Amino acid sequence: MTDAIVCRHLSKSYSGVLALDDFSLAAPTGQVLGLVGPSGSGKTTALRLIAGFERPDHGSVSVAGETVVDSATFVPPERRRVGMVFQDFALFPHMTVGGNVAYGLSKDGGRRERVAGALAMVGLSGMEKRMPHELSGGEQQRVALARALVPAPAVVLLDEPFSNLDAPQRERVRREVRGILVEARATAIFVTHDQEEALAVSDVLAVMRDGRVLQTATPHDLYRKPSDRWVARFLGEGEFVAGTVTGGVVDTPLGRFPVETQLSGPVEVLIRPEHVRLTEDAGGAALVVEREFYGHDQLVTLHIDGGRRLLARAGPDTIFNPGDHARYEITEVVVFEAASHQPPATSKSN
Amino acid sequence: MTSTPAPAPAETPLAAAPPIEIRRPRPRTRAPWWLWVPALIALLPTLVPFGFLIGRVFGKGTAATRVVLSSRTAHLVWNTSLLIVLVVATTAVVGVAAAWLTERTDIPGRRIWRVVVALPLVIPSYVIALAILSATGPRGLLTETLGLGIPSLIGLPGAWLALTLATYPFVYLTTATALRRMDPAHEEAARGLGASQGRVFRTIVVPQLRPSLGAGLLLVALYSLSDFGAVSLMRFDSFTRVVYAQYAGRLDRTPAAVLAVLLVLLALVIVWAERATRGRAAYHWRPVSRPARIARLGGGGRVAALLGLASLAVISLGVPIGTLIGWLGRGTGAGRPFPWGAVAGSVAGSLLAAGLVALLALPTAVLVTRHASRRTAWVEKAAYTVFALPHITVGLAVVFFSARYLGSFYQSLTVLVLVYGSIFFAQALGAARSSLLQVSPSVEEASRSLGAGPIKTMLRVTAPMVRRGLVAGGLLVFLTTMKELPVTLLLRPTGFDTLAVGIWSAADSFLYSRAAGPALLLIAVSAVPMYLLATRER
Repeated sequence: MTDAIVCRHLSKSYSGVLALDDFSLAAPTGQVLGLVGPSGSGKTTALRLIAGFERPDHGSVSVAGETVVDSATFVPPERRRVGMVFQDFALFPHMTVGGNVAYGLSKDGGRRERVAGALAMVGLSGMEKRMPHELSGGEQQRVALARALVPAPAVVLLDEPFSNLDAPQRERVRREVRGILVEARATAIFVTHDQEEALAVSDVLAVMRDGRVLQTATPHDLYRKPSDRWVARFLGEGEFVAGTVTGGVVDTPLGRFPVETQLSGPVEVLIRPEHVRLTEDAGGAALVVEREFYGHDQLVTLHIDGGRRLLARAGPDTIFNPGDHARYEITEVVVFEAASHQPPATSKSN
Repeated sequence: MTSTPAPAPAETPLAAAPPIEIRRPRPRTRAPWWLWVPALIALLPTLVPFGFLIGRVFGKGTAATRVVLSSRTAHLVWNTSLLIVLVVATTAVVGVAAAWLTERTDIPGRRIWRVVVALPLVIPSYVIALAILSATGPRGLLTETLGLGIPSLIGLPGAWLALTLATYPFVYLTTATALRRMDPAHEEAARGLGASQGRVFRTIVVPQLRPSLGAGLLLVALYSLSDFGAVSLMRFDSFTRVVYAQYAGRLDRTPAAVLAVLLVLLALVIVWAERATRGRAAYHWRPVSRPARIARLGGGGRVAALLGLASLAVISLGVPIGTLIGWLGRGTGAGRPFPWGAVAGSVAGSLLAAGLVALLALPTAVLVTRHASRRTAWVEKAAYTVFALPHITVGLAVVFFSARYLGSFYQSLTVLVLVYGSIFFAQALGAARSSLLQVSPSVEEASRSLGAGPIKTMLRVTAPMVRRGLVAGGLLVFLTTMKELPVTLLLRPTGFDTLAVGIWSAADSFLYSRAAGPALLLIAVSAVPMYLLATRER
């Protein structure tokens, strides 16, 4: 498998502030790559450098094997074969839907058919004559996607594509967009600050912080095997305890657990709430201090061993109320090198 | 999946969708070099001659110093300052009172009054001066027809009155806008904290009004300083009139040049004075959803308010227009053919200027918004500086410069139109810029990423989206060019006539009946773009 986009050592600063710092990334052809990080981590800057709206200070970008920018080259955006879907969709308000989608096609024959085909692909057949403002947000989103896909670009970039939709339609549009991208076998890079969205939509996910990529992996691997404490905290909740690894087993104040790791000696141990199994038991060792009920599940904050905090995720059927006692069992843990220099990050950045 | 022809009810259209999250300002990219060319075409025709004029004045050394230090110059400064102070004070009172009445009271016919009060904006100062001159005095129309023995207002009183009538709409418009946009929540908060109505007005309304009032009065002061038509017809020796007289009547042009530069310095002093008196508070306009509280006038108050606005309308509109109509059918000019040549000249010059400016404004607006930097900020500053320069100074500078360097090009229509375009460029740039700011740059980037180059993007995407702004700017330039007097007077090619020049020269020779027809026509023509601009805003 080749890479549709390769960024090497990109850096970019705005009036002295470093937005991208030695940013390297490869987007595999035919897959959806998610770029996730808190606001200000440089995600959008990376997209804009790939699209050619800005020049990097250092580094290079190649699209489908061809260098579009390095210290000697600068291919303008209109010749990069990079499609873009903007956060505000950026439909041309003075053109019809058909006019918008046809904009990137050359004037030779078959234009009408290709527009119709693209609209059919996004589920908007026969909407050519509509004006953008007559469409709902989700429909505008799909027009923007059709417009970006129809010239068959080497890659489509999506900048926070779902943030402009309100909550009820966001998840549905998210699924639709993923479906369209997969069906079109398009290579896509999409940027988001929403961890859940990133995990749900991407084939491959790159986590960014302070202008750098910290880790690139499948969503599953990232969640299960984060490379450091910060990535772990960014992608989900959990509690850290200190531990010591000896021969494939980590020893913690909460018990001994088998781990797959090269590390040995003192480590930090992450316990995800999903890996804490909770059972009703009035004589249990854990005291429920807080509970957030989400419908499909509930997040329970526990105090164990006289004050140590532990988070547990439980199904919706048994309700755990503050003050209740319960029995807990830890099924799995993740270990990291001890004494991480990074301060524990706050998780959600919404 | 199948398409739904009508948006499903759960899906909100974009207009109702939550606003886009505000991000850090989008980093700007450097502009391609060719985007600077239109800006230079627009600005250099005045900036270069102006620089030349300054160089010339400084080159004259002692001769220039002598002019500056002469008692005649001191007298001029006194005259001009006196006129400005009088006009500023009067327009402040008239403008604020009218704005308060039409925005914050229940005076009957508010909507109509709002139009009527702003309407004198379409009458150029020299037409108002012409009307005042031909209405008053022993031979004036008011004396003859109504038997009112109004003394002639020639001189300071006439200039004061003419400029007040011509400029109070500036104060009215800025103040009325501020009153309308003021968030009633501030006043309600003050009332809630126990402040009386009077205290609310003093401590909440007036301070919030200050920036707008200051802006309006700044316009009035600069207008009064640089107006040529009214003061020259009124034979009042303020700066502009004397500059022109020095230029027209003397072989030695140094005094005219020195005084023209001095005039600009006075303008700088005025701008500085306004800056210095500005407060430190920042006022932000937010969209106001609720209208402000309306004060109820009692019966007596209502009558007084109506009488006040009515007499303002009579003096600023009724008397001038009535007088001009009255002179139409009279004696001296009756048998003469109507000056159609002047009409053609006015329309042609204004159309060319408006078209040129609209053409240059689009790329320049792209330059200053999409590629904003410290350097492009200078383009805007330069445009507004040129706009504020007294026209008599610009005209003289171009005359001196082109007589020296341009040879046969001097006094050609090309030069005239270029200078028109230059001095009014800021109007079109402002309009284009503000409509461009409402267009998200991502729309242009979308066009780029779909394979369109920068020029195609500008023509196919940017231009259609800012069309309204460009047309509005063009109309504004058309309107102001129609009324322009001093630059036309100094730079017009031989045989090229405009309504403005025709009116002024007839009035200057007391041929009122000859001036009346063109003056009415000019008012009518100016009213058309004004009407379009006003209706567009709704």
